[in-house]
Amino acid sequence: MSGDERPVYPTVGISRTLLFVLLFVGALSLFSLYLGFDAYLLDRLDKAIYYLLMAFGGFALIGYLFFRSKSVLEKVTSIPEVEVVTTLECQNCGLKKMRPFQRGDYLFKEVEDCTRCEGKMIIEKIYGRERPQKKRTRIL
Amino acid sequence: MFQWVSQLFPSNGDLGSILQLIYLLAFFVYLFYAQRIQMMTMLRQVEGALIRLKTIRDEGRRVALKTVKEVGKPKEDPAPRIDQILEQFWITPVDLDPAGVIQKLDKVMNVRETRFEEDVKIIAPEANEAETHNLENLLEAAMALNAIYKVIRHFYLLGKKTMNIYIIMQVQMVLPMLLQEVEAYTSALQAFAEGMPIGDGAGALTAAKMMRGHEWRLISKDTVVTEVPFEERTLLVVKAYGPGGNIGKPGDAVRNLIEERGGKISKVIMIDAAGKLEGEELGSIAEGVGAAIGGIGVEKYKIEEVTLKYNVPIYAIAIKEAIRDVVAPMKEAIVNGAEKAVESVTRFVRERTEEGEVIIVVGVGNTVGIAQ
Repeated sequence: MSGDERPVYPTVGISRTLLFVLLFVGALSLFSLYLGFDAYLLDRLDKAIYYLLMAFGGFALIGYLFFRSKSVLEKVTSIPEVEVVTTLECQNCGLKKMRPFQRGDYLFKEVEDCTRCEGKMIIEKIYGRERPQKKRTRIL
Repeated sequence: MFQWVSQLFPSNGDLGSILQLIYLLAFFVYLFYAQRIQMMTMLRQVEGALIRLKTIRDEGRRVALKTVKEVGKPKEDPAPRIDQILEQFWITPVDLDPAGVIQKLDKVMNVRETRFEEDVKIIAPEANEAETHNLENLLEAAMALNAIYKVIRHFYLLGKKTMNIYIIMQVQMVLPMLLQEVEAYTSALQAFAEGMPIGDGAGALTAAKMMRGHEWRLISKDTVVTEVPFEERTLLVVKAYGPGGNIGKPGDAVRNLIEERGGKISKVIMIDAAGKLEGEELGSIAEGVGAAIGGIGVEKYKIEEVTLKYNVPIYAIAIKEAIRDVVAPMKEAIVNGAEKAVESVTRFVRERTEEGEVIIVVGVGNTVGIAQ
């Protein structure tokens, strides 16, 4: 590592800045909560409502930031895998079979005997299956 | 309404004063630090992308290492050798004097290919021919991921060090397209590790469907040809030699075929996967003219040269797919696209050629998982 001795990779997790913001908002929210209850006990209902609203608003913000950063982290570190299927067809009787892809499969390979006749099953198709998506009306 | 809101925050109360102070502070902070805040937001976005890139780059290395161990059964630990391969580079020839640059480029590419094959054979001695080709492709995908990660990291660190908004901005602007490409390479890892057909193989699949059941022979390095009789015409169907991950040398193949027959070829039809625009249907077919082949241009040059010399027209059939589908396991829509391309070729031959003519049909693309 030259010059800059800090790690060159960005770190995975909640950043220091975000942690600082969360702590700051948390402290403010706690303080507002205290002021809210204090005002309520002194019969200053109008002030109590403001302080309590601020406090709950702050807690809601902390919750949102925390869970959002966790879901972003999951999205960032996940590696998607495609489900790939192999379709076999008997050249004799036309029987079709579908199974998950296995290493060594390739198109037009003779793989096994037909379970219905004496024929040979041949790999006719190999394709990745797309996840079913919610149907939306397409305008364009 | 405004009155009601102003009653909520009375300006003479304690809370009102605090809020006013906060607003004032926010105003001054934004006045002096707006660009810095924007830069930090962009840096944060690039950092997020960089974390994703690093995860995928590491996955690439992990999958490559695992597959080499499983398939190649090396006696020594292949990790240091793989790390060395991931850092390999190639230098393009000088193009200040462009005459003959294609031949020089072809030579560099051939040397690179041979060197890569040798490297793979050293780290995976037990792998068969198809597995060796698949491993080469897998390592190339891992190399591409490594290179992209390093370039983005370079600009990220440079931007952070200099705090120059224009350095950060140019990375941030290309990120969406770059991440799409990287996601595609992630799927490529799975495809090459297992030997599954990929989207780029649409052209090769079309050719394979046409040459099925006929005798084939090698026509150039890693490229096969089959003579298919079709309604009193002869189709010379060309594709890369499968089922290992190969793109062959279609340029050499077309040149050899035309010269073998003394230039008596009526047409060349090329089928390849082509980039679709957003909104276009995956696996749809488009017909055109010209040499349908990607890459750095060496093979395209060879085809254009020989067809020009013998005055043979070139026609193209494109199977549309998005950049994320090119190296990902082939989707069903692309398989159906290859079916449609076969129909397109046969219709074309029927309508635009005469009986007795010889037509070259080239299925361009990586033939991983596709035999002949």
